Amino acid sequence: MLVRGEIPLTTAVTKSLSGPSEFELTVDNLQVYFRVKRSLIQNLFSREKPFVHAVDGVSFNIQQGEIFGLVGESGSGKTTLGRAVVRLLEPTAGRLVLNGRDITHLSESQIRPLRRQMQIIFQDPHASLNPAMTIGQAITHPLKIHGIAKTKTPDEVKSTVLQVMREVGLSPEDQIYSKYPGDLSGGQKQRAAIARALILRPRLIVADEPVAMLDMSIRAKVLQLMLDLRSKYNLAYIFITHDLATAKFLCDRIAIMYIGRIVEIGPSKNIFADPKHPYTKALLQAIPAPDPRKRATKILPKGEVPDAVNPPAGCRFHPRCPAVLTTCGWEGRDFIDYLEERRLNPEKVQRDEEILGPLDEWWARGFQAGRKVGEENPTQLIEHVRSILTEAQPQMNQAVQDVSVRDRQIIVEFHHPDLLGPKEVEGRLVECLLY
Amino acid sequence: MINGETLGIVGETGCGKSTFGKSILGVLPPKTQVEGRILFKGRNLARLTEPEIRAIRGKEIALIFQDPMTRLNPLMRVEDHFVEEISAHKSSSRSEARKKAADALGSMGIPESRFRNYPHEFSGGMRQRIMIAMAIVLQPSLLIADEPTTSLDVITEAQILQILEDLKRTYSMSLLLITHNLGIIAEVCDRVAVFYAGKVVELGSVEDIFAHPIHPYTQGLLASVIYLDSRELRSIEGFPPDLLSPPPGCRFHPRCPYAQQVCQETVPPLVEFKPGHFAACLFGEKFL
Repeated sequence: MLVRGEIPLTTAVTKSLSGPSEFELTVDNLQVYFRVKRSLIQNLFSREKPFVHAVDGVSFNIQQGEIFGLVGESGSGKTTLGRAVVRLLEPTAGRLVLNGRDITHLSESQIRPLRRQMQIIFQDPHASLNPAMTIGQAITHPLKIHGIAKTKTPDEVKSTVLQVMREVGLSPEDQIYSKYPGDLSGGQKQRAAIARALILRPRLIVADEPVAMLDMSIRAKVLQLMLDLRSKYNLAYIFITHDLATAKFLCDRIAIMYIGRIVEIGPSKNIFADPKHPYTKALLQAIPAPDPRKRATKILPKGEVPDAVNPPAGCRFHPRCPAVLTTCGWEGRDFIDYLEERRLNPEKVQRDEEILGPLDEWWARGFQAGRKVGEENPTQLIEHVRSILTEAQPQMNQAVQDVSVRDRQIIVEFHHPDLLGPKEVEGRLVECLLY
Repeated sequence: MINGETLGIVGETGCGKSTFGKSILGVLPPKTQVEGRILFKGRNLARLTEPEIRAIRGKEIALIFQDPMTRLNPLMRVEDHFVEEISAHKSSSRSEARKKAADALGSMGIPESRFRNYPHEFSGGMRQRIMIAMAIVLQPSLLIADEPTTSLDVITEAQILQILEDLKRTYSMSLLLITHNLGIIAEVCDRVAVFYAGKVVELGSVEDIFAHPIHPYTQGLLASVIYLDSRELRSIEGFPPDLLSPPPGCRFHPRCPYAQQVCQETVPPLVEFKPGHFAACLFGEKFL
């Protein structure tokens, strides 16, 4: 069975690039699972308790002044990871260490004082601002929650708020102070959300797709603001995005995530200059280039991101990977997917249907796929399965351990995958058997 | 637009690009005032009655939206959507309609074992492929795609764009692609119309517009795209105007770095500065 490799935190590339720092957050083999909601009936009839493996063994480290990018598609677990880091979620396993203190399972009242150091801003600035609160009230709110407001006079509080509004470019600040979120443009609302995070003078801001909902012509300004604040306050950011171009521009280091795992992590310039993981390569290739002279035919991974409730065996990218090997984790459902794909071919559909029967009679469990055998001749059936396997991807065919008929079932069984763990390749860590 | 051509409509939130797309098929809210002409194969779509336009919708001109769930009925099996669509236009038998549906779905990579599933049982990319299958099942001559990939991931987006390109070639269909993403325009379109505050400010071939934009808004928009080779961050000052009271003269003048007094007074006409390359700027020659 597959053993998940832990990223050794001593490895140079997971460490941040700068020297000693007053702020350091270490994420060590973190897991965040969510229970899948099921009905009472489902629970009565099945002992299985399915989980969404949102974040499944992730390690990295961030120091002050650093911008660390978490890049991935929807379902990669990047948002869950960002929320777990500021402890809006409690991790299932692993450790979060803030300045030497283990904060993984601190209670809400214990974590709250520490949140002054770690703030978060979200993708949708409209949803993250209370429509019934003026912008001034919203930005003042954290000062009240953290008991700072009561140590100052109301005038001092207001001038602190106006000052932070000026810093984020919300001007004229005394007018915007008494406006409601509905009166502001998207860019202004995101600035207000940044001001609200900034007023506590945090060391780290987790920014979850902060510009994704803004128009192109104003994105640059918000990003520039984030960069300016970093140089002014030596702020660290965890920048969560699906946009590789923005990540490249902004981040010192990045981690590419796929279904809860980091597949490649290291300095941005190394990864963008020469991506190593086939998934990173695919992502980079898929971005439409805004230059009509650079049109090129793309070789894209097939299919879509699979469900994180039951992630693929071995390397989670193997069913879609253009560089897949025999040892990457071929399993029963890959065979069923292959049968399904064949049914799209009008020449093969009839013969497959005759000999292999309807698709829904086939089952897949772990590394096996199979079907109940009726009146058919078992030898002939095995031969046909073997012959269609030779028409499949050679890596899949070679991964088959055995095709046999046992207990009136035809069973296709795959070899177990090779051990997968992060390896250091040219100045970054890559989790791929190619290296 | 001509046969087999792909025209891109690009602009930011609130520039009117979606409203424009919907006006072609008359699917705007009731009592919307539509003036001017929409000539399709010689007929003015803006003057057609509801039954007349209904005969064109889906059959001659099809529309796909950003969110497939706005078009797919959650209570209807995927196959039945097709049967309904086909029998609305043709008096074909159920089995004939099924056959057509199977061909369209199969060409989009949806296996037959899934035809009887409900929309929620499919992933986002598959739903979008079902929508495309539905749009092409009657082989329309024009497909209007309004942000067809915006809610999808980059790899799925690239897959869908490849599908749209293949379809265009197979059926010599014209494609009107509405998007805010300049990268998609550059990759897929032959020509592009840049919208700003409800007006076309520039129109031309993608090669011309990306290499030599004339209108200052197009210049600013192209410069503010962050792509992998970007070395600096650029943006356009100010905000798009409120369309309840758009600025007089050129609607871009309050944000334009080159604006003069005359720009506040005169509405710039769309002028052909180079063959096939139009722009609505009073000082267009300056940027040639």
